[in-house]
Amino acid sequence: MKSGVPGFRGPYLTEAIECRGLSSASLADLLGISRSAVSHYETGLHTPSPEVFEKICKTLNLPPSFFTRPSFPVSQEVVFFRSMNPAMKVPQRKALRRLEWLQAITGYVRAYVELHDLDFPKFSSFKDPIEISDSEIESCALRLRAAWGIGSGPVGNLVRILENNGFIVAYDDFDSTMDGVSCFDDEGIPFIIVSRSSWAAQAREDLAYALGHLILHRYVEKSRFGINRDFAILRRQAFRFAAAFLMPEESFCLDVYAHTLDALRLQKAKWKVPIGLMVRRLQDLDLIDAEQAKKLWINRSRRGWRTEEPLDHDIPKEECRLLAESIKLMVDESAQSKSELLYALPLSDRDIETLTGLPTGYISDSMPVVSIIPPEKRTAPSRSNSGDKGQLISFPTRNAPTKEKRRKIN
Amino acid sequence: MESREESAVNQFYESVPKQLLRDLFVSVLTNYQQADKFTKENYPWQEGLPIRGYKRRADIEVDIRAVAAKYFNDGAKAEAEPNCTGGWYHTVLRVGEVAMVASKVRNRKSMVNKSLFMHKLAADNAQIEFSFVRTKKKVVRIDRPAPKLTAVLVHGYKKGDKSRPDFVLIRFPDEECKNWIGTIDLFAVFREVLVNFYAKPMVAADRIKAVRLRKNVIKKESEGEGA
Repeated sequence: MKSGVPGFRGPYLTEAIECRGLSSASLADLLGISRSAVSHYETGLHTPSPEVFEKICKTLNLPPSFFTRPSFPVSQEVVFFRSMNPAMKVPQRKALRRLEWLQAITGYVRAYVELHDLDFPKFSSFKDPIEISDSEIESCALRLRAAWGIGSGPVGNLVRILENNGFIVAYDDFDSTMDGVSCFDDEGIPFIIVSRSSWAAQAREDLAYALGHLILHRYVEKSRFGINRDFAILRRQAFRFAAAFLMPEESFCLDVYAHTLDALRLQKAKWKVPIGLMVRRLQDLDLIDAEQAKKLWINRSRRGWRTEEPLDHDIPKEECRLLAESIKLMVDESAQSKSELLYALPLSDRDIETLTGLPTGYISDSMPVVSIIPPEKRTAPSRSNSGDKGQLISFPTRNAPTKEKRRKIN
Repeated sequence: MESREESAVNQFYESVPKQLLRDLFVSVLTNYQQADKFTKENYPWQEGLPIRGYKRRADIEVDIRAVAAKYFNDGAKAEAEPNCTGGWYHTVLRVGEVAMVASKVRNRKSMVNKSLFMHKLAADNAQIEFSFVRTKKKVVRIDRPAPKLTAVLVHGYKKGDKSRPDFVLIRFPDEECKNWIGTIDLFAVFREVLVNFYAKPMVAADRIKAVRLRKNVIKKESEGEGA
């Protein structure tokens, strides 16, 4: 083995690559080294020279201590995603790594701060998803609302309710295809991370969906999540729970005076849930049949509400504050300094700030980093504000040269 | 023997499910609010003034049809029908033996504006249920099977606050459509709905439960911060 940076651990390079949503090849290109070299670093066959190591740290925006640290504890519990599509593996790996980082940060904070105990009623430990009936799901949702004192109306600040009842909630910069991830850690603390780029109502749906998995499927065997047929059932159950939790049958039905998109749009302001979830709820409750639901889905797409629904801009995003408040308390009460925090958590200050909800620049006392909004989430200015709109000009279509043409060119 | 009013009210309730009536009521409350919001958000008040009424009327008519579709299995059906000149449409909701239209009036004592379709409906109404009343005008025959009872959903805004109705009533016109012979006050029937609708939304505690340091944590002397 060639000499390089002492204590460098290859698997952490893989972790960092996954966490940044990169591949080994793309990192090699960014570093200007061969792909096999990166592969050797990952497997531990070689360790990078100090110069290359510095470049790696800079490119991946991680401190050197990240690659030489002791391992973070990894939960053995099942991790819940919204999709088990093989195409989602890369974003899922990234989400999983970020979840591990969040667990590490929480573990560190818990050593100093007494976080809230987990508070929810004891539910049946379902091992087989087929055991869980729809009425059971409805009853679980109602029991949870009762235990948390939500009543029968719209759920207020869902993030706050979860945090106050012992959940660790975070937003993260996931890919547009990734909605969220959730799991229990080995100590039984539930973690939920949802995409930062989701609209507020969608984020509430994602949180309630994750809550559904955590409550209903904690004891379901891990292997069942890999079977498409079973996962479809698990997913449907989590959605049913989310809808039942956010919109209890009794009160929601009284509010929806007509089964039209316009009537549902008016209810969105009150219930703060996506219109799509309301359509699903109406169908779950047999208030509309499959044909009516299909019409609503088609009309929803036709109105362009799949990517952005009305009122999405108007509903304020619920902020995660538990970890941020805890860290601020540690610093303010001089239990830990910011530098000690960075030393104990070998992550970049930006990562810690993102996952805990701390204001940008809090840890490093630096100026906020200006980040570029991903193109798919850029929002068009509202009609009332747009003074003069540019004209959209489509790219001229150019046919790719055929094989014969290529031969001629060559 | 029951009075004309009692007879009309009882007949109405026999045909129209209370839930449908409730949904119509919520729809009226909602559309008052939405029309006001829409005009305030999109137009200066001068331009918004006339638009508000048109928007509210259109939305209420659309919602009458949507509510009827919801109660299709109970025999409810609503259609937009042209008036005699063909230049204006009105929606007629038919459930069982009741035909109902909606109209905004100036105050709760006002009669609906003169319109041929209402006269026709009211005349039909008189032919069957109130046939004992002497008709002064010639009854106009219409092709479709006549309902036994004609009702008008009348509503009007509150003075000084056009975002909410001052009254929402189901009223039954006489055979000449000049007087009301019976009334159902939806504010009284659905008092609870009304209270809930205008109740301020309960603000869930946005406050995070306080966290505290563990007892065994040793606080250090304040030292220079910075990463």
